[in-house]
Amino acid sequence: MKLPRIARYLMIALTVAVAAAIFLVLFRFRDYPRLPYRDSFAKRQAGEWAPMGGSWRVVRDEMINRSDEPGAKLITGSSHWSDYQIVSDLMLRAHGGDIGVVLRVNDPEIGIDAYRGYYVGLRSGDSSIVIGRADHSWLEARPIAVTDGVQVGVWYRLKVVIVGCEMAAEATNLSSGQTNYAAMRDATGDCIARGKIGLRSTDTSGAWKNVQVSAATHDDLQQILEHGTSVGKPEYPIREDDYARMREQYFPDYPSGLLAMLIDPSGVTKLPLVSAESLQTNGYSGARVRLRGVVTFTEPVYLQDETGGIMLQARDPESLNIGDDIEVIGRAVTGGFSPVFTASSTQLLSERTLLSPISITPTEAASGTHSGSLVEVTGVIKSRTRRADGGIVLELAESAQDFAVKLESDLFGNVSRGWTVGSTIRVHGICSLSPEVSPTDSFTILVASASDISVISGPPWWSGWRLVRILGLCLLVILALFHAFLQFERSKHRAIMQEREHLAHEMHDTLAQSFVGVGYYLQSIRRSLREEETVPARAMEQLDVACEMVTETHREASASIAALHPETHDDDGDLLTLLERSTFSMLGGECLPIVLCREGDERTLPPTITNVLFHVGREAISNVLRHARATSIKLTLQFHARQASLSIEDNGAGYVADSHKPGFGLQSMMRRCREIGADLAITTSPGHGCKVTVTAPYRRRVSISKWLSMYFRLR
Amino acid sequence: MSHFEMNSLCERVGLTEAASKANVDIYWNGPSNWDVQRQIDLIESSARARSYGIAVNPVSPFAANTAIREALSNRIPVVILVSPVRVAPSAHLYFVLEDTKTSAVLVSQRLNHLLNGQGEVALLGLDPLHPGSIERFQDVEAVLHRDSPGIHVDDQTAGPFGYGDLELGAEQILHEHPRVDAIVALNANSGEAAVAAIRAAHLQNRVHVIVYDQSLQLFLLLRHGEIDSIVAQDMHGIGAKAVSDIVADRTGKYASETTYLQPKLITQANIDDESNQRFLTMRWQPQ
Repeated sequence: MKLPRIARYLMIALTVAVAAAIFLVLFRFRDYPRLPYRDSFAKRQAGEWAPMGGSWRVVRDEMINRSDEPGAKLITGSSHWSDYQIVSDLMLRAHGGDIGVVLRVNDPEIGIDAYRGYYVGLRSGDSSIVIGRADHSWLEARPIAVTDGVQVGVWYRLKVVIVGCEMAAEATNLSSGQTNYAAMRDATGDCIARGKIGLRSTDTSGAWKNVQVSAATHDDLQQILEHGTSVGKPEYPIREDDYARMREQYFPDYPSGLLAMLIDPSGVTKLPLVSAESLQTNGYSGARVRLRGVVTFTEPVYLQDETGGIMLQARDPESLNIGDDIEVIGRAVTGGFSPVFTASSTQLLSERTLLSPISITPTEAASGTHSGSLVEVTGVIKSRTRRADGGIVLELAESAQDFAVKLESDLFGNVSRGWTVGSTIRVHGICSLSPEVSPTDSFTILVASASDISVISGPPWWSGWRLVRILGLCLLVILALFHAFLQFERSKHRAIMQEREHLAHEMHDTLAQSFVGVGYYLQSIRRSLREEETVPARAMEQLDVACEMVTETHREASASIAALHPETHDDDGDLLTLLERSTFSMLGGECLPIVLCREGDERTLPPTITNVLFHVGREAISNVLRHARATSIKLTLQFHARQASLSIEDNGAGYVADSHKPGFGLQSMMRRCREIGADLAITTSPGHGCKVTVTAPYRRRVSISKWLSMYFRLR
Repeated sequence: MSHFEMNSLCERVGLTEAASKANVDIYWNGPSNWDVQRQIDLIESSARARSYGIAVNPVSPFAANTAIREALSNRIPVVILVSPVRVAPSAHLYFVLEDTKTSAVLVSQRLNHLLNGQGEVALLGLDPLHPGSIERFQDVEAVLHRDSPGIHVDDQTAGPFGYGDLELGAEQILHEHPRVDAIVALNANSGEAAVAAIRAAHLQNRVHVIVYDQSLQLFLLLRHGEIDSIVAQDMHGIGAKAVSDIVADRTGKYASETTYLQPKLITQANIDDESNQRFLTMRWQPQ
């Protein structure tokens, strides 16, 4: 059953709408990964995690943040996760601060408490389990003191269950086996129902491994609460005096231990305290000196004070983290362009002293005055190379300076995907002029983490793949327009054909039938008059002529109907058969041999071509019958690869061709041929018959000028 | 407790309460530490988002000026909180600042009280790149010179590059000026460094510490007697005034270009006063 056109369009629109809806639903719920989830740190993979601050590395099966940045986060999971439990082994790698996991995270951003969700962690300052709620601010339940203290360098297994508005935590010291519990009910009235998970540290370096998340039930929650865990609520700090009383009651030693990392005033202070700048300019004497500064990079270690930065060779570089304020004793040695400080001892003064980079131009960086310092530079990416070890090297150019940016590991491919060639990026990192680091570039920026590279603007629209995409899009639009035009032309043609068919039916039912009726009556009159001898012979002759004219006109009408009626062609035969029938009709019983000849692989011709060939062929045959006095006609239909040709050849008198004065019939044939882009050729000479050949392409080739003329005609 | 950035929490209480009354939503974020670029990014993104208004507690006296001017050019009211930035006066620009002169008077009066009008004082933590630092320093020096001629400023230690430098600076003050009676720390970090140095030198009973800016850590030290007093800013009032200025600007009402809010001197004797506890409230959730 053929549907009406409007119904077909509606069906298509409905299908597209349903497909779009399915796509949107799948897109909305495409969040990865799904529960249960287990990390792939052991495979050195973390593509599903999104860093927000920090300096993240995977070492063996551990995810390590080597930065003291407050509120550094690593987020993964689905924003639709609701009730679940997260288990993770974690370890503080430095004194101070806290590390833990975040739950039901929404709207995470770089910043200390820049997310909406819950946090459970271990805090070394007061040796407690801390549990609370963040909403771009922080409110926590009473911290629970950890029995044997929160120890640096010791692995803990933290299990947190969150169901409804309640959460409970279980922290086990994996060395001693000691377990502590904490719980909180979010009684703020709008507890956060669902969200992602994450790892988070504040003011310290930390390590996490074996991160697992699975769906949880109320029973899982109860298993922790059965340990007599008191359920707190987020209530600190609301008033200073409440907070102070809580501290006095549960943490009486606090804050005496907090400021314990003091400088030992004896002994070492006798050594001269020098600045990084003095080591850069005149510090090659090799004397033992003291140097104070903040760690700005860890692999290799760079130290910076207020005068500048310097590379540090420490005995235990793994213990140093970005933000550590340290004092080192040692000597400066030549390290190529810049000196390297070789430390014999390292003392931690304090943590979380994060430095902001100095914003400089590439030329300033290349001048060497900022060698070893934490800088911020802007440039345009010229090339991007992924090294075999997973690192990324970006070649940048800006202000007549070419330089490189090196990121040792690209753990989070989702971040680096935006670093396309031609993009302008801003980079935070260590400016290194060391020839080992940058053998060909004027300088290299060593980047600690993918989050230290931010894209200011994408590549210009005319560059690289963008241009290809735009051209491709234009091509698709042109194709779509062309397709639409063809559809329009086809529908117009269909309408014409339907109208012709309608006309054919009308002619058949009215004109042709009338001719039949007139002929019938004329024949009856003639038969009646023939029986009477009084009828003049001349009248009988005129009556015979009238009968013949009616018969002839009926044949003409039938032929026109056949030409107008496309279905007639299919029903009654092919083009040659139609022409043969038409010729027999025109002959009116006379005998003339007709030879039909088909050549090539036969194929169905488009109706427009068939019509033109039929009319031109019929006109040519008519001319043969009227003027040529031929004794035979040969009709040949040839099928070529790209075109079909019809030739009508006779062995008659022929004539002298005069191209300047074509007759009416010939003009009509030429006009019809032009309509379909066909060629008309006539070969004749007196006494050698005539051959008319029409060659029509299956698909019409149209020039641009033709297109334009057609376009304006359409308008 | 790094989580408890008390100034921010108090400020947010004022902002949230005022915003709730004015039916305005608050987007709250800030850079970790003194990340100037991050603050610029936040101002720019707020301007791009056509925010109703922007309240900025600047981390640099100059660096965010372009971003602020850009927001102002889009007719977004901008309120600079606590410490001034060097932006030319402009329509839609407001300042809600710490009254550093009153702070200096409070410090001077306290030192007079502690030292009976005679003694030596060191100032720790001057940082020209930290908004408000110079104003605090100059006002303390001027007021002491005017109101307490018997009290001399012995040392002016610049900083902070880091906690280690500050602590070293405090040690050097105590070493080079053995007769120093008090250290005035111009910010919270300097206060902790001063306490650490005094502990190391075992001078808790002799050297007094007065600190600008509040933090829960400092209040605990105050309660333990290691800090004498804290010049606490009216962060609640600053936050509330910021919202009222923005709303006034948007509704075509008058708002003063610059407002100075008076601080309070919190000591062991008055910390538990209900008025002071209300002054320090951190209940940031709308009630």
